[in-house]
Amino acid sequence: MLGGEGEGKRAVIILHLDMDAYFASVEQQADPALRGRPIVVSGRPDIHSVVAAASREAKRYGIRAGMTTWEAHKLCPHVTFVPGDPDKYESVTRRFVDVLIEYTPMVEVYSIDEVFMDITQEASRHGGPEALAQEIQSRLRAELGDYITCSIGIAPNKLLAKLAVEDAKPAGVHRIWPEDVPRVLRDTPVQAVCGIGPRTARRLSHMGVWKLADLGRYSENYLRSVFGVYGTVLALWGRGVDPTPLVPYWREPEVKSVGHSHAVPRALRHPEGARSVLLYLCERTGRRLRAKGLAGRVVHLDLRDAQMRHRGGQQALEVPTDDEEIIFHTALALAKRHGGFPAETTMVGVRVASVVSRSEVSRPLLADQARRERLEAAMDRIRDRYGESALWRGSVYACRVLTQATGGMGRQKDIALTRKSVDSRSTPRP
Amino acid sequence: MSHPVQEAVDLEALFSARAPYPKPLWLRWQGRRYPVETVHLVHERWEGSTRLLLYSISADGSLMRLRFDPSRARWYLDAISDPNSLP
Repeated sequence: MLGGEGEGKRAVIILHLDMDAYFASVEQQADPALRGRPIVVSGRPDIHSVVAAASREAKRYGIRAGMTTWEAHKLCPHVTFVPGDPDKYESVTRRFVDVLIEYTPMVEVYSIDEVFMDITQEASRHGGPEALAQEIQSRLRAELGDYITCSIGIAPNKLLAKLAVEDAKPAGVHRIWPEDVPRVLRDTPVQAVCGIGPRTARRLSHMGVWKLADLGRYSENYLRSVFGVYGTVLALWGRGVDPTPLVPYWREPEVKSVGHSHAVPRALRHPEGARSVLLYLCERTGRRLRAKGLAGRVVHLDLRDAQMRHRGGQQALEVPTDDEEIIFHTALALAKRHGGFPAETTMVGVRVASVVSRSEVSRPLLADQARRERLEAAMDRIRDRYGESALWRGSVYACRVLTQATGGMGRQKDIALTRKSVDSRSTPRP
Repeated sequence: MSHPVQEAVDLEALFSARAPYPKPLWLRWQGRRYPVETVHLVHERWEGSTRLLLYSISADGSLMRLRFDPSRARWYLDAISDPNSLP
């Protein structure tokens, strides 16, 4: 059973849509002068920056997402760097998701440029899965523009659909039929699977597992003894089975933690600058917790120095909180306990975990805390009405550069939720 | 080279019931009328509770960035680029 088909049930058809060179294509669509040229979408040039997306032309020079901008420039000296514009990409994502949900409500927004769709019921009405995929491609072209293209993989489950899309790039459609699965498993290196990182791939290579089919040589029990519960997932993947269900966009994802991290701009890479960045990130974390009606009990801090070494830790609170002051002072105490801020801090991250609904937490009894709660609520209302930049603490004003960086546009599901769906649930805007 | 302008402009647009965004048809800037040749991309940006619509258009061979602010019911020309110039 590859995708949940059973007796009397139609075989599941999953479609994986992946936008081609997404951010770069959007920029080329917006500006005709960028078309046909090698371009790279990155953060601002004055902060430690990486390639967020490379255009098709830049990829021909070997430029890939994740490289440093310096490496990209070395590979292609005439490459054009375009500062990322998250609003633009989020907005285009909402538009294409709006189009997709006209076909089926079973749309999972996997990341800003990747979507899964369950088209089991709908495919036959559109002439089959391939015809439906091609119809979607034409529709998106008409709605978004000729330069924003997508590739589509079709298969019986999410794992195989994601593998199929690699053979569909660029702008094509590729289907993995059930009878193709043994060949695909024999040909696919384990690290090609989203969820098998370099460390796991290295451990698997020590066991002689290079391709997905090699996993079949080991029993589930053995894989569990080596990898824990993750061993069960590996055993299923080795048979081409994906246990992960499609999570439609309208189902509230379970929030386990809320947090932010950011690469620190050069101008702020000193302990006082890193402290400001930490306060700024705690403010944003507190605001997001309050917007979601959550409070968290465990504060995590992560700091990285110029040698890429990490330091930090976690601290449990007596009472779950959504108060940015408490989050900040807890994180600050953690920093002190772990040797203070590095002399050259290159990354600061804060996260609040073990979250519960705010309604489960008792209201503050102390007058000072109650006053702060009212103040934060008032600040939230001002920002809701006039925007995030309407209010700045003087001590974090230097961090406004962070708001223009492209960082953190990976698996952000919230941002890709359609306006319609957000409005209909009266959920605060992310 | 992109030149910032940030000026309110006279503009005629079509507000179609079927299209997701209004379509600008022409604009008047510095006493000259520019017919809109192509709308390359429209995207949204939220400023607090205001949804701004941002347009990349070609008019008279130049790339123009337009902004529609529904809270003021006004169109703005944010920037204009020379033809074929890189950012």
